[in-house]
Amino acid sequence: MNPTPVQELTDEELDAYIRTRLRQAGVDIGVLPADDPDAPADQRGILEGARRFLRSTPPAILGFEPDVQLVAPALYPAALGATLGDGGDG
Amino acid sequence: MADRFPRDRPPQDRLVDRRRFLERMGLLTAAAAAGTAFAPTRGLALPASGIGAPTLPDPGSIQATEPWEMSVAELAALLRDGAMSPAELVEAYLARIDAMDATLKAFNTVDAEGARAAARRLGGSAWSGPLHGIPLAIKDNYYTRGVLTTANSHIYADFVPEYDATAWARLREGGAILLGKTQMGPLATSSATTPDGVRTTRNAWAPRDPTVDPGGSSSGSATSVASRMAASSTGTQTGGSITNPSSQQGLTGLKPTMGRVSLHGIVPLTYTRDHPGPLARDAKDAAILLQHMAGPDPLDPRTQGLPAVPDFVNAAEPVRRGSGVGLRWPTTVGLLPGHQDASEEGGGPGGFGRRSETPEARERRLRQAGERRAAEVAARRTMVATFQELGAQVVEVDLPPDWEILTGSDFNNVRLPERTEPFLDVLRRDVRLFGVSLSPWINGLLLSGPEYLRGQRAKMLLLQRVLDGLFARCDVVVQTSPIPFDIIGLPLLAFPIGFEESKGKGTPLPVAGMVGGLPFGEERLLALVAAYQAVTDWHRRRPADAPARGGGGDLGGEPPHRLDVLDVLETGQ
Repeated sequence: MNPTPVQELTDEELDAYIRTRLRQAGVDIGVLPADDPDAPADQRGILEGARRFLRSTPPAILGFEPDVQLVAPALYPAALGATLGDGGDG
Repeated sequence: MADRFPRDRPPQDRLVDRRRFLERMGLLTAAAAAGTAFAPTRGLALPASGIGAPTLPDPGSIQATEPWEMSVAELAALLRDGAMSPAELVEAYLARIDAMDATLKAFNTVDAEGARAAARRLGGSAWSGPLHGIPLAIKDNYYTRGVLTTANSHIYADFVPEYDATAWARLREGGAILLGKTQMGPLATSSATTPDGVRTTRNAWAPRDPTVDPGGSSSGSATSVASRMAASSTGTQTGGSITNPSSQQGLTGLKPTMGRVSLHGIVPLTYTRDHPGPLARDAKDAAILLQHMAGPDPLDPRTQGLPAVPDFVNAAEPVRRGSGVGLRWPTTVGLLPGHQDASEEGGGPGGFGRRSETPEARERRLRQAGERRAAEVAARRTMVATFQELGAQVVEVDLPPDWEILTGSDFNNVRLPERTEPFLDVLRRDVRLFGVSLSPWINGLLLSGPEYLRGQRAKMLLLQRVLDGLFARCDVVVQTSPIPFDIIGLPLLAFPIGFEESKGKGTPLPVAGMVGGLPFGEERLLALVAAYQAVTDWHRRRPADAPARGGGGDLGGEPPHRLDVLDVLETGQ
């Protein structure tokens, strides 16, 4: 059975996932107002942003499949260019 | 002008052995994954690399009459000769801050007494170099010993560091004076707002109009220099935060190669992508600041084992070629597809509270964006022609495969877990401390380990394709966005190339060019832009002085505007 594409998950399903993940990490957004446009942050806005992120970013990343034998994961691509060629005087 | 470098000495960007560079990537990635890429928390910094005797202007050639009108290089010449004292200079800047900052809101903290004390001390000592007695504005995410450092966040509301960030320590050891700490997007995310999202800093070119983006997140740094309330400033860039405000306010802003400048003692945003660098009036000033900021730091492993710091200051000294100015090194400039296409929608680099804007404001923004885009394209054509007149070769370059995917917003989001991890304890304590900036820190918890690693692998692939593709036929690429150079840590330099008139407002706003280079290619970027600035004067223009609060008519324009969490998520860096 193929899993349901994340884009087809309902807001309620994603909200349940988000709240569970945050609870697992010990992060409580329940201290924010539920829905208050005048507040610096509210639960409605945080959940909306998280749903948008989940529907787009993880699928895009996992859908891209580079050759793992040829490309290493690199945290600092440019800074790792620490090697001077012959004759370099720095 | 002097030609102190032989022409056959190549700049550092062409001394990097690409094959060995790419082979070494895998080994160092493993080391980073094992934990060696994380910096310890504090300690003493090594002194920055020394610089040779820099070429400074002949004091007799300086056209500016007021000290605050002069560049760092010009001020250095006068301070060296005793024609001006650090104390006089500090008082001149404090007077301008006193007159204008209530309107412009560039500073979070002004350390007037500290600046005066430093000026007195430096005035009694021998001139030590081009930063001796130069007043600087420092972004409020750099630790400054004994001076409030807030990063515009509730999290750091009362934080007074016990030590200096390495980058600031090196500037201070070079003789720089701390005027104050500058406004910024909360935790370096957006254009400058209070921690709860109310806009603060104004663009120095449009002090009466709060809808004109000052650029972010180093907003106050840019406004302080553009308005001549500081000689120069520092910023940090994760997603355009040096080049964007520099572009918006007519400055020369340099984002160095990752690792050139230590991040020790700077509030982290995204630890693989944060870059400290200068926002300056011209290439020479940017070089002077970078010369001091750069170099290995035992407290930041990202700075270890890299090419030695070259002489940026002399790289930024234009050279005579016959009767005119020429390039220090033969340079081929690459143009990306669409570089001169005026059809693209958008509001220039970055964004400024788009989600909560009114329909009228959106219509006005899009109209102004279209006007700005057309002005940018025209100015860029002239810029490229000027490069050619200086002797550059110009070629069109093709985008590598998968460009849209690898440089798009989803792969850009791979940075988010990096901002979450250092702040997990704060997130657990009280998410309200993040104010308007909370969303990206929450989203960072939602990316899995394999997804994060796939993103890092994509960064490496992107670098390979940029080196083998974009840079196969050129030394420098004309950029219109900080992406993807921010992602893969390559250097960028933004600089003014013209103005566009905001129709109906009568406020000319700067238009910027931007060039990107190879790893450790700062010398070449500085040399190219220094030559450009030797034959143009955009970098010398400054806005009219901002009116004081209460004395200059209506400064509000619109009610105070604030960003919300989704604005920050969509437009922040």
